Amino acid sequence: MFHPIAWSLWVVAAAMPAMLTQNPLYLSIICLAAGIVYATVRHTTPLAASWNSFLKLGLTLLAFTVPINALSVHAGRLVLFSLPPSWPLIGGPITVEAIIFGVSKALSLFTLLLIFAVFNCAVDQSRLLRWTPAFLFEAGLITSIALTFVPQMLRNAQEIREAQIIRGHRFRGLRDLLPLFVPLLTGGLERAVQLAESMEARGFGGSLESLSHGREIAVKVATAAGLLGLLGGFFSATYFPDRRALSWLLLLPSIGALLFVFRVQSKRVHRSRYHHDTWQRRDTVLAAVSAGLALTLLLVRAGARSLLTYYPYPPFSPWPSFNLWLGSAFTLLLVPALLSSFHPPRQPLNSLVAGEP
Amino acid sequence: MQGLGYVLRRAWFVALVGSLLLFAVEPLNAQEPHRAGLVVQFGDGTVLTRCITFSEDEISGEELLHRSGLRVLFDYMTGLGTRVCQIEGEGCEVPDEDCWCQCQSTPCFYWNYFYVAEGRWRYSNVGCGARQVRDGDIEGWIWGDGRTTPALFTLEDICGPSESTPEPTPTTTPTPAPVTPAATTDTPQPSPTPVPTAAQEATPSPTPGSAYSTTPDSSPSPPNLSRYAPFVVIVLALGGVGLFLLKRWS
Repeated sequence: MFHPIAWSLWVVAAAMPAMLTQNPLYLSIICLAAGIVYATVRHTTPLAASWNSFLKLGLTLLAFTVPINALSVHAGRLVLFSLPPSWPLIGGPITVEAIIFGVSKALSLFTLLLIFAVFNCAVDQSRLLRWTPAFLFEAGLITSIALTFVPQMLRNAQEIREAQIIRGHRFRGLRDLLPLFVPLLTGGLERAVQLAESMEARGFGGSLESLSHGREIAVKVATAAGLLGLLGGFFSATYFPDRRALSWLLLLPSIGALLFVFRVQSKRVHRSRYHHDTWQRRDTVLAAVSAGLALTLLLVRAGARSLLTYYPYPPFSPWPSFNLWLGSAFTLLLVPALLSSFHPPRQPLNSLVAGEP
Repeated sequence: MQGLGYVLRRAWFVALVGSLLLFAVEPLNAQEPHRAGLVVQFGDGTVLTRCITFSEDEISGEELLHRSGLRVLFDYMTGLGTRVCQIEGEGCEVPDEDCWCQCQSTPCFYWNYFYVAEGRWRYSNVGCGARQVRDGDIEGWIWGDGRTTPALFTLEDICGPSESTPEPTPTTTPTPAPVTPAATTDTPQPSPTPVPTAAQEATPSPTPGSAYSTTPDSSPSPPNLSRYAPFVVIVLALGGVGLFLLKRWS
């Protein structure tokens, strides 16, 4: 599969139009492209089974969004039928416009779900976490423990249930949950202790270089001042928008102070890598296409925003417009599916050593 | 015990029939035209008034704006109510702009919604789609930050004395010249004003044929289907590629 950074760029390029446009035609192209990509990455991970059911749940969203929008918005000129106006909230004309807009809203939500399903199936979270900056190693570790917590617990629960079924234990009611929970809890505690011991055995946090006394004070002061300055800068930018110079005067030095802190802290950590991610040419292609698409979209939004917007209610036309160039640009989201079908990845040597497929 | 259950069941039945009857009877007492006033005050202090007559018992504040014949842009994007973004060109261009485009930070300007109760303006705590307007009500819209109220009018100021309303059909009658009571005499009235002119007064119906009119006869033209040919081609091509890829993978 692709490099996590390339995948992240693809997610940005796909999620941005799904959130920016309400045009159902563009949305259906994006949805179709993301669906094809999902169908190709689905085979690579056992996680896909849970995402399948999640996407089915997303489809029921369609069944709620469309009727609710149709019943609550009574604007438009293409009236299908009318409910008595004395009925609270839902009374009034039911229009084609409200139905179309409900469909496009539901489509946009479902497309976002699909894009994140692709991301979760295609990207190995631990590979992505390796890209956290060195000084944030503690946060990265906590995140990776948290991410593995639920799958581990589910596996543990499955094991306990199997063991109990073998012993002839049958679940009949709520009271039978207690023999499931107690081993689960003790198992979890045991795992936590084990993890702590293994971290200690590997010398977790011991590789930090100590700072000189003056430097340590400088880091602490710079952190506090930087965070306070950032807060004040955002506050003044929000509440006094006409005093832009003041906000920048607060924001820029505090960003500088925080960068200084990050640099000092990163230098203290020496990180060793067990195996390296390789960046291949196919990753370059995917990243370039995604970045290009995202950039184009930003330019379109800045320059010709009306190409993206769609608003069916009067005084506008209920029929969405379609721009050929924009529509065909969205088909570029298919690139990961095409690349993984026609250019299978080279097996990097170190991943063979590490025993990864 | 059995008797109580019987009574309860009967009570349910009576309540059901009664509510159905209420629905059925309701249109009967909608006969004489009702009147409501609409006051729109723009950012430069210009005031527009409209008198709207309607045959229903009550209409929503949104419907009142529709019937006023003013050019109003509504925002229905959320599906959870109606926002007023633009009246007669003042405000925000939905959908290219956000409906509250001038309310992103502290000097927050938007169309404030007021109504008259007990002789003074009250800020409405519900939107125009949820508020019901009855006979004699006065509704106010002002482009402002929510602190200033529109100029105060009485229904007679806007609609004239009650006996001089012979029109039986729901029409709007633009008031002749800005009726400015004592409260607004000091407000400046610059020249580029959308105050109703004599030509407008002559037309009894709400500006027919305008792009903003919401009368049912101006239904949108059917879609030009050839415009969607590229879309169909793209979708078919995507579907073909998708089927081909899936075959390769399975």
